[in-house]
Amino acid sequence: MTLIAKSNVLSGFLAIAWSCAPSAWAWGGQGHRTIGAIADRLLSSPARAAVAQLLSGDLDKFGRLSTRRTLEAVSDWADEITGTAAARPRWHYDDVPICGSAPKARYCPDGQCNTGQLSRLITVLADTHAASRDRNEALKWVVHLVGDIHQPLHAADNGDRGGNRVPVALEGVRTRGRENLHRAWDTDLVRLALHAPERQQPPADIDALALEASSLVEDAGQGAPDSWALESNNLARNVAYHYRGFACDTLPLGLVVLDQEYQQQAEAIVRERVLLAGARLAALLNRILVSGGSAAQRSL
Amino acid sequence: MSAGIMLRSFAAVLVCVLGVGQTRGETPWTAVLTQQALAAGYPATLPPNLSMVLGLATQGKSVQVRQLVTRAEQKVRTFNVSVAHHRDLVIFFVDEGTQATVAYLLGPGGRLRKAVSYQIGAQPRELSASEAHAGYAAEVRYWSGRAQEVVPSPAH
Repeated sequence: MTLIAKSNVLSGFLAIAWSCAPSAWAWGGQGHRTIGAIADRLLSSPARAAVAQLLSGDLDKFGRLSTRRTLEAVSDWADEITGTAAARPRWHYDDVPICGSAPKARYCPDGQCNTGQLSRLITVLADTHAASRDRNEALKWVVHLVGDIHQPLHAADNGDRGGNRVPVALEGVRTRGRENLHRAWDTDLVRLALHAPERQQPPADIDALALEASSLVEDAGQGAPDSWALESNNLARNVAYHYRGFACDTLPLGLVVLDQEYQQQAEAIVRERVLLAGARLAALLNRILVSGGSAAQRSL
Repeated sequence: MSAGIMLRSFAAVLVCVLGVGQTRGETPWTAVLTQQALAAGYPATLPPNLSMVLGLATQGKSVQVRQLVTRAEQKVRTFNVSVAHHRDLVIFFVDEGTQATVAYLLGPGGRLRKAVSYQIGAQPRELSASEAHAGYAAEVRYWSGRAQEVVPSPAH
């Protein structure tokens, strides 16, 4: 086979693989790791000790002992287990409509959605009588799901799987292959907002971000899973879905170009959501890992 | 193809071409608050020096606005709509503790046009986009949430 023929076969294979690839459904690694890293820095000493204890017997996705001992390190575990029996795709988001409203039972049947599970997992995590393996996994889920629900498109839907079916291009930005609105908010806008060239790691100024996040939550308030989802849905309605050509319950006719103005606004929102998620996660863990289940009930 | 079908097809294409770009399923938060401010906001005046730096007035001229106000402890937020030009929106965030004020000039869709920071008695300083980002995001979160409370989403 000639080099050109091999190249064509490879291109064809990549095209098929790409078209079959699952849609994005979470902040990318950088978003989750940054949220975890911010929370690590804002944990109280007792909460940090409790986290280390809960992660001391941590297992990776293959069931082997892991060496992960920080929130940053376990923050994308819930994505790593994709494709295994432990994966729970429905837990990563709330499909709240952005046009009109819907009862929670419709987008969260049997509690199978982010906020439904997050509330339950917080209770498990706070229960010092629960099995240590259950609490370990609850911690990893809570770290991840608090992050996810702060991503506006994880609490929003327009009949497009949270923007996964909206093809987009970011004006002036080189991206990796085909993009959609959801993926842009998960990864590209995070990288741009945090000015972090390394796609999988928190930015270098993470200490300063943690400090800023701490003061930010004083203004925004701690809230709870349902209010975080409401904030996200609101930002999705007003910012993420505010592109030219938008229509309720309708997919765009063609490629949506996210212009510089859109990106500027979106980057500001993404940055705040990542910081708020980190600070709120830390505040939540500081409360429930120290004072236990009764505090968890109060926080919800 | 009958003339009726052709006419309907043409109309459908026209709707797609002209209409889709303007359709918004929900009223933007800025429109909700603009309407509320014009209907029931307090009459107020933007200071001349700030009005000039924001590009809303020439030197020495102030800008008449209608204003929505909220306060949380020492933090005061106002949403201002120019009486003369309803598309000129200015959000103020005032920290009474430090006497620091940031003003954000927005377009009708809520996009940031300019941000200015000043201390009482001092000259305003225009903020770069990166300097303004954090505060701007907080204002969008706060005011878009407030707009949602004011006008609940219609049943769909």
